[in-house]
Amino acid sequence: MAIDMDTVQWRVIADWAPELLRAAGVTLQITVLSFLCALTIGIVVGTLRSRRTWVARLLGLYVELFRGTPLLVQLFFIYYGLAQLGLVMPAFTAAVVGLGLNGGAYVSEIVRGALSAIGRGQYDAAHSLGFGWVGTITWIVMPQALRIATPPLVNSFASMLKDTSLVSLLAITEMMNIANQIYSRTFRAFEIFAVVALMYFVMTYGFSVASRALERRLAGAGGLGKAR
Amino acid sequence: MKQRNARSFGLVLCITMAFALILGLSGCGNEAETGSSDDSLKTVQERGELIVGLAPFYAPFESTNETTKEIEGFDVDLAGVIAEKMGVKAVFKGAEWQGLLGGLEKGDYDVLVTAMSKKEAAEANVEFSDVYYLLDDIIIVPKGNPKNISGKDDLADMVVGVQLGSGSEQIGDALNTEVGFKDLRKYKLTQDAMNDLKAGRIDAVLAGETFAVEQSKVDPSFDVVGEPLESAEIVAVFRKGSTALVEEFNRQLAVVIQEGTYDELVAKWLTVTL
Repeated sequence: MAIDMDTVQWRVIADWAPELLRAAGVTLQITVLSFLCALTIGIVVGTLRSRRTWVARLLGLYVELFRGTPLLVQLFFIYYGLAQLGLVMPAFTAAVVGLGLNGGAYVSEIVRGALSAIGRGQYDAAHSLGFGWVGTITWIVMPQALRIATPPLVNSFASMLKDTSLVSLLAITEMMNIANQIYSRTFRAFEIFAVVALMYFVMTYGFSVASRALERRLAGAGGLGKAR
Repeated sequence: MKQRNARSFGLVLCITMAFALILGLSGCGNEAETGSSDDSLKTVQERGELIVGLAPFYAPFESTNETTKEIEGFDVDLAGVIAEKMGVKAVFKGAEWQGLLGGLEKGDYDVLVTAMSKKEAAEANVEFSDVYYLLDDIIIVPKGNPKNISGKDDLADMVVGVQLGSGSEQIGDALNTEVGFKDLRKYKLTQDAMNDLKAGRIDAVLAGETFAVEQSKVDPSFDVVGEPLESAEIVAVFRKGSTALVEEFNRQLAVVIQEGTYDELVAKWLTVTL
């Protein structure tokens, strides 16, 4: 195997740095918005699914559907498929909707799992203090559950950040799309994909470092003291 | 504190290993190149097959037939007769457009015959055959031309779609600088752009003329407007250094043109009837 590092020219990256940085901004924007959607959907769906009702069963269908089909298929269906029926949304919206619904399915399972980890005693205590079910969940159980859920949620965020590369196929100029543009112009595959991989890594790693600091803080805040 | 130290040690270790890996790889590089003698033609003749790479999403040049599921089109027939004249059999390998040149360089194909223009392959380390077709790029709008686009100047403040990595993308970039679009959106396939045009999410698509005509046959919701934007020189694309194969290909291309087979193929596939 002859590997020739002499062919590597980092100049290409310098030439395209402004475009790459702008695209990184788009990637972050899509990730954050989609994750907020996923979090909202996930908390609502996960909570509703923590009790055995017909609504829970119906929402179970949503979760299975979005976990059981590829994200790329979902994105194409939402963007190109629904457009055929007259439901036309801009690419950015379609990306956030697709990533949000997909992520929501996973987040809801995290939330459901975290809720089930909260002891029966918490519910009973809340009940004896006069809290209804909604009040118990909102003020007593959810704050504890979300603390347990923090590590897997960070995991979801990182997955979502990487999954945004798929929305390049909806002609959104995020990092993967700009990488392909540069690649098709310069054919410097090694330099471009190495740098783009590094950019994704820096973003996810930066986030996980920040979230560990958050975890340490939450661990101190009384109660379970589970996170280390 | 101890924990943090352990963590940063892990990070340092990771980075060190990454560097070691890169250095190690470059260290084992610089082996002798596999001779400068050109055995490109010999390899093909000995194999008895000319491996042709193409992206079969571009009717009428190359597409998958709906009933036979075989790849067919002008390029397929042309490469077929040229291979025949060379005394070998053409074998077609379909791939993604954006991956074709990389695959060629890697050795997956002997040649790309896929309506590729000189400009599209210019930056890659490749050789070209003689020009075998001139393909006009044109402006496609929805049927009825709702935005009244009659030429490139009317594209100012419009949302325009092109296929990523195509000659149309390059024309789009140049026009964007010249007249100023509202947005230039870059799709994986021109078909995706056409879909968005139909859905009303974009105002115009730039693409090769024959492709546009073929599409309007399948789906009559498009119109072609204005003068052709630019003519692209379509060539077969070879790996750098396969001079013998390029020369043989050109020789047989000339024969195919001279014998009239070329004109028959143009009449069969590329005759524009709007």
